[in-house]
Amino acid sequence: MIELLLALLLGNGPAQAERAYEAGEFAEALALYQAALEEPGAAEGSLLYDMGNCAFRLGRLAEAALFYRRALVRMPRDEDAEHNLRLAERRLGLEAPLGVPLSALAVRATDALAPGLLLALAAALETIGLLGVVFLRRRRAAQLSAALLLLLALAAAGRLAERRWFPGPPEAVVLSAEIALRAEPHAEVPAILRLKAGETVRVLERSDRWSRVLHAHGGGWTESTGLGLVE
Amino acid sequence: MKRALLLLFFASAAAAQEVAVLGPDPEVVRLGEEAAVTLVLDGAPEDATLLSVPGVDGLDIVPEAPRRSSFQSLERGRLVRGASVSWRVALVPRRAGEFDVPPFELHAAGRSLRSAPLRLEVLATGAGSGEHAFVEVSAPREEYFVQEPVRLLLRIGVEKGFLEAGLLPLSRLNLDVPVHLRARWLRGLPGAAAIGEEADAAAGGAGKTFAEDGAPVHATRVLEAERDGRSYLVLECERTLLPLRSGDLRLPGPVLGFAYATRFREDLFRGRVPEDARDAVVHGAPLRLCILPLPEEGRPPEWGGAVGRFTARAEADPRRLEAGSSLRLALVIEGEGNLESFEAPGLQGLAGFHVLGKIEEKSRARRQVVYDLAPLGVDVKEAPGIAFPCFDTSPPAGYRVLQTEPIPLEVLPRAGGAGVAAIAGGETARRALPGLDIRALKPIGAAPHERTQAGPSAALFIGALLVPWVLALCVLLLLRRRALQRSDPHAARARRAAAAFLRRVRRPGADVSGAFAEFLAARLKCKAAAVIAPRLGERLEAVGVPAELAARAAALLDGLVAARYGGAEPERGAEAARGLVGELEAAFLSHGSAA
Repeated sequence: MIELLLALLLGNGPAQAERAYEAGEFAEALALYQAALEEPGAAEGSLLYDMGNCAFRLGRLAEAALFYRRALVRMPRDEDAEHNLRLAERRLGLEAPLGVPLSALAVRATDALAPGLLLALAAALETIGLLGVVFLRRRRAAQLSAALLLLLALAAAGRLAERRWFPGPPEAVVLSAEIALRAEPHAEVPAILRLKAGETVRVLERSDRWSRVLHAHGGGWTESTGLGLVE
Repeated sequence: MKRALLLLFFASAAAAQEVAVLGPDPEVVRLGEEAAVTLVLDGAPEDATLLSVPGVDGLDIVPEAPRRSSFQSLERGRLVRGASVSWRVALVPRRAGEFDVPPFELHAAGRSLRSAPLRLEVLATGAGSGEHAFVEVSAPREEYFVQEPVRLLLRIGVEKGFLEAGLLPLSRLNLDVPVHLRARWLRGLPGAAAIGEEADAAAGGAGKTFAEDGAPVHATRVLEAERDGRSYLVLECERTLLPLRSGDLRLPGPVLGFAYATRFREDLFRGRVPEDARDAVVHGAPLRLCILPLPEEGRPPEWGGAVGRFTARAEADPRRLEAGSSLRLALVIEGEGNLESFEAPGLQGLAGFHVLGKIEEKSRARRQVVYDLAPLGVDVKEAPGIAFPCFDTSPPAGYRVLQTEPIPLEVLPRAGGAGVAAIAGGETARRALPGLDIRALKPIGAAPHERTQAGPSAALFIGALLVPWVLALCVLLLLRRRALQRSDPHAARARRAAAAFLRRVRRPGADVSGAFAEFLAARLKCKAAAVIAPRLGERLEAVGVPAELAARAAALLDGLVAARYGGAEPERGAEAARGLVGELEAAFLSHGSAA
């Protein structure tokens, strides 16, 4: 507690937090990282990752998964955060699917790039594809490849536009040990689906008490307190 | 309003460097109620203490623990910071009347301070109800050590017949037993802190409810007892205080308030209505405890402040594991003592293990510390016993070190033969075991590849995607034009002829007339020999050459042919032909585009 007060007063939160973490005082380290996160200009991705480590050490695995996911929004290619997230989810009993769909892989690959870089890549692929289609009219195979490049470029541009202007419903992590999805926002309504801690959902509507969410296996209403928004 | 008053008092205290007194609030109370006074000392000096509490007959004066606070305010555009220390003092009357409270004595910044005297007026309530209810507080012993929890037992008794026939419900609260216990000191007072309040309050579970300082609480136990030939329903609950310093600890008597009536009438709509409702209070006896200091003698250097009567044991899970993977070694401490406030053993530098961290669970009756340990090699055969030093209050009281039993372990080599030699003993949780544990913290100040920009603007996005299409369209148009040009053999022949003409006339002694004739033949789509004919001017006009230019071309060709066959060569014939070819090309092109 004294460390936390000192850090708040002196503004040297991350160093204090790291010392607390190394001393095994993970709750205090988490509070110190939280305070450091509120400082202007803080390296949010790194701090959220460190907070994830604190939550992991405290045994709050769903919370750790939430922090790692928040860190990955800010550091999309961070291998450490991905590794720790996988580990937290494995300990929560959330087995990763054996096969990942190609579309999901493509989305993951494009999301790993910075928006500016993705736009430049899309424009370059588009230019090559269009010129290929124009110049290689007599070579069918080459023209087909150029057309594929063009499609790839347009898909990348589409994903960028989706990320930038149409991000879709926000993602959330289940923090409670188990939450029930119900057809109506009332506790008396029977559960239609139960989700475990660490699972992710898309939040379609949200109020202080209830959230309407969408999961891979269905959708429904659940109490907002059991969810943590990723963004 | 209250805030404004507080600020006013803060300001007055700052100006006078004296004790500000807020209250009593309210200035007039009924017997069974309590008033409060707040003593405020500006500047919050470290040595600020409440030296003495005045004694007033028939009035319990109960100070609470001091509270320190800091505040900020804007004065003439400047941010001014300040701090203060305050004491809330409860005034609990035991009889009706007017009370003059002498000044409180405080010590701060090396000097003594006195507050202003106070006056409290207490109105009488109903009498003659003392035999119907009682309240008492007790402790198992009279002597305790500093930091040794004092389990207080509160007992509230209400005569059964009185409860059913005479007791009235308390307003706004739906209680099983409508009585109101006033004992704010149970939440802390100078020299003692309340601990485990939530646990104490929840321990009652489904017990009957009564009111404690305005809030409903459950009794831990409900009994029936006989006292002076009367049958009482007795509610029991426990509260815990942790003494913080040695000396006398005086606990004021609790006060029990309730309302009752002796006569009732039946009302058609409101049911049983009291006709002589009145308030009543019952006072419990105060309690005095002796708090003993903890001895310096025999205190182990690693003692973490544990005081009480404890047992300690250790559990490990799993006991069979791969080198590099982690196990959970739990130290479980149970018993009567300050389980929630001492510092648990840290296990730093445990030989043969990498200490990844520890997680603690605290409750009133149990403290569990779970260490996350990773054995460094297959030669680790056991989890060593954990030493837990504590001050044991059971007689003869003294410092003791409880030792848990070692737990045998079986550490298997890692699959693939990879060792964990890289993780040296005694290192901290900053380094993680590869693959089996989370990765380490990020270095301070590092912001690796963090995404900061929101993304491209709409104009940039559209522009970047449109430019390739515009470029491709331009290229396509260029290629189409070239293809169209290539598809016309006569035009190609004409272009070749113009180029050939220019090449030939550059050479010295060139046949200018032949070259010019071939150029015209290409444009007229005929053989070169067919160009030299009488109506050349008209034929050129027919393919779009202006009449004047056609006439000049015909005249030049005549002149060149004549010169070739011995006639007079026109002056500077080659240059004139070159110039004329340029004019003719322009004429053909403009005609072609117009066509």
